Amino acid sequence: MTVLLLVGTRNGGFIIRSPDRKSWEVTDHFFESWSIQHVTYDWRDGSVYAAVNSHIYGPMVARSTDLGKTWVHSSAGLTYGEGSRARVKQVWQLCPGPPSRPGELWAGVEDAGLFRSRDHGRTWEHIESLRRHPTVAAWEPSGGGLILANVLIDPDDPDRIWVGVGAGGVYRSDDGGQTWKALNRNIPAPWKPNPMPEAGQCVHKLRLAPKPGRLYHQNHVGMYRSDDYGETWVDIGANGLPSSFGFAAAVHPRDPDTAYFVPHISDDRRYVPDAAMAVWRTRDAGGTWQKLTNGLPQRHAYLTVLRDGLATDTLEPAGVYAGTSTGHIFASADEGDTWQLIVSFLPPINSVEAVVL
Amino acid sequence: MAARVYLPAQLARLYQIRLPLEVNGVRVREIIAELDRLYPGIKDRLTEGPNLRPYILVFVNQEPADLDTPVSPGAEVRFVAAVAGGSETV
Repeated sequence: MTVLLLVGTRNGGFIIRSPDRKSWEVTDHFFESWSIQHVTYDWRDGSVYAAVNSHIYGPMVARSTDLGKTWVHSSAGLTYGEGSRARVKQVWQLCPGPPSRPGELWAGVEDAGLFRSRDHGRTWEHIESLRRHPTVAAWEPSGGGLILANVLIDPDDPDRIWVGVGAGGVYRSDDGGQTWKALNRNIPAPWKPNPMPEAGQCVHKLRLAPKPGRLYHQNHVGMYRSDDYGETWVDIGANGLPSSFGFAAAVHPRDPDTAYFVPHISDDRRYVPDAAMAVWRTRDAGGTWQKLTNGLPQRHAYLTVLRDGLATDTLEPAGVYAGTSTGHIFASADEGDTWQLIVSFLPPINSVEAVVL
Repeated sequence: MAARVYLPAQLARLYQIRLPLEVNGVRVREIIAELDRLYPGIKDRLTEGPNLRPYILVFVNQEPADLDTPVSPGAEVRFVAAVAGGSETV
């Protein structure tokens, strides 16, 4: 067994390996000097994809078929066209398609939009239907820009796709991206003239739970759960969590009632409360919460865990991983009960994903 | 006689290019097209749509240039990333 952590940082991507979840080694550093928003593994063929960005040279998507040793990269088609005022500034999220469509890869970008590749990321097409949705006028840049940083595909229906836009809201397509429905019921956007709009909410992280129709959602204004494919949302953070603000969310690989969040103080103080690192876990789908701190720094820890900084693995018991904007990764091999610092002093971490091979 | 082309180190590293490159082209635009033929995708790193990317500068024989600047045989064409930093967004 090998556990790989695929890590995207502000200065390249990293692969960190462990044979036992006790000892860890940084084995690969790729795209040094490029900002990597997301690194993901494609279970269909073992490819690794990276969202590679530069404010000077623009965005591209890279693919490795040898676990990060060598890469090919492209941005062919990653554009809104010369007639558009929107620009593709960064790739924020990559999502491999279903097993029935090998080579399909989705990308969420800034300025917020969705792109699809059918050839492993070599060429891209803009899914124009999303930006033509009548609610798009409600979109506006969040602190990170106007970004589409969430793309999810239903494992039971490859034509059902969710996207999350900051600040724009949750949208779902049931026909492979041809049409979209805004799904933000019960989620406020208090900075809007109408604080409960159809769209314009600031989505930080969406995660699919291993149960049909269930999603967890870290929004700018709270933590939410849906049990009906996003049609309605229940506030699960109001009771028991120290703050409604945070970026990241993660789900247990087998138990749909177990999820993890890292609350931050507020949207103007974006670090963990009391400067004491804590991951919060629910075992009952958000009814109650446990504060997990065993092994995490509890003094002067001004830590931020960004949107894709929290991950789980598929082992039993499940591993949980939290990467911080200070370049530290904390790992738990027992579902969050105890933690160890496994890597220090990486560049600021954008994303962590765990793969068990 | 081809032009001698210099690229920013970050791009040269990405494409594993040893500088300078000998590249044929009568204007900067054609130089970039030829670079893209030799190193597919590099055009998108230097240009966005019909223009140079906002933080890419180009000099021909040390004079500020643009995509339509003529390139004579043996000229030096130097692409430079603007010095900008200290901010995530520049």
